[in-house]
Amino acid sequence: MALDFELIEKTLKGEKTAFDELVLKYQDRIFNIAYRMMGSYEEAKDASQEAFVNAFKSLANFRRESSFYTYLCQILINLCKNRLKRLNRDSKLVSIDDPLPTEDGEVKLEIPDKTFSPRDILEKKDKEARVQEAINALDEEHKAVVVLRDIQGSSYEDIAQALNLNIGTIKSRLHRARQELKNKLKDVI
Amino acid sequence: MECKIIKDLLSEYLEGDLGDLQKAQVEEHLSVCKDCTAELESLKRLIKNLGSLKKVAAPPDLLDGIHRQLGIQPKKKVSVNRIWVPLEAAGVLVSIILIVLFINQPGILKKGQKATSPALEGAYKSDKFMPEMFNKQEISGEALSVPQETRAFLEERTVITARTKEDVTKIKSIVKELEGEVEKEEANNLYIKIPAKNATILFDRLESAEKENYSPSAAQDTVHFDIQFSGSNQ
Repeated sequence: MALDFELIEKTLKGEKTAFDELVLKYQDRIFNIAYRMMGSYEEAKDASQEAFVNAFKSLANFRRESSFYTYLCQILINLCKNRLKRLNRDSKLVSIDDPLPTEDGEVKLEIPDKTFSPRDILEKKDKEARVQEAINALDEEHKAVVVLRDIQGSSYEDIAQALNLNIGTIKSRLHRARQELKNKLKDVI
Repeated sequence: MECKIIKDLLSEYLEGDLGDLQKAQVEEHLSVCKDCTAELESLKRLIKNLGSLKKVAAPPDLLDGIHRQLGIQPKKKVSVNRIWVPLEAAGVLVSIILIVLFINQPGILKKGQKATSPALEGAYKSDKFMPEMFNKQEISGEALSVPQETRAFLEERTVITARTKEDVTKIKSIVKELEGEVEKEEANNLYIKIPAKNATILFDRLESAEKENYSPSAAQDTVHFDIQFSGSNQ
């Protein structure tokens, strides 16, 4: 199997199939991070695709101070954070508890749950879904650390590079994220 | 040390990140404090649960979506043209026609009559892929379905148009390997005969050969070999 840097070189020389190899190599890991960050299959798919597309477009700027996987994580986490912020902002614009005035009187507004697909709702019944629910409730910064460290098993050094933070901050966020999850999941774990 | 300080250190303790002194202090406290020990166990369970969350695989069309966003046309998986009907289907059809012809030959096989192999053996005399198993086989005049074993010994003809002289050589070599032969050669058109059992393999081999020639920088829809099914069994 070709090394990542060789595939990057080939991609930069115009061999698009070399980039396909990189996608196929990392798509599962990247998608899993996106899924745990976004808490939704469709959102995760969009975010992962956009991450690979952005990585392709900015490949010439990749300075190779980190691994390609860490570089991908960096792009993905930033995308996920932005998407989550946008989703949270959108959902705050209208409260689902506010009745919506119509010609036929006021009706209660129902907004499709953007966080959970029908497939996810079924999963909510089990413990895994409860854990995911607790992860969803974390803020983006803490979520990113816990997903990379405790779910993906990345090293502190890789996380520090991917999130552009020092290791002390990573440890501190990880501690707080774990505390929060532990409290939320008291009856489950 | 107070419990609150110890609890704040538990995460790092589990990671093995504490210095020797702090580690010893935490362990000393844990040995006498049930509350902090319970907290440690709870933290361990949480980390175990997070680490064992199922890994969600990427959707199968993730790469296609990336190609779309990058404006890359999907690559043709099979660039060999199969005109008319696939060889496999044609082989079965031709076999059926042959059997019908044999049945209609006077004195050989009438409807409802059981025929043994000698009748068929004569009809296939010129076939170099003559199946030995015909000697043991009975075919009913009513049942026109072709047994799988019979099909395996029929042969098929195709015309392969190669793009270059190098391709001609390559095709000839593949055909020879698959027990086939080139009956006629006109320009880059190769009229080949091949055992039906190897017809699919031929296509696969040609596709592989074509992929070897594939250059990502070249036009993606380039067809190197044109194959037309043109013949039938003898």
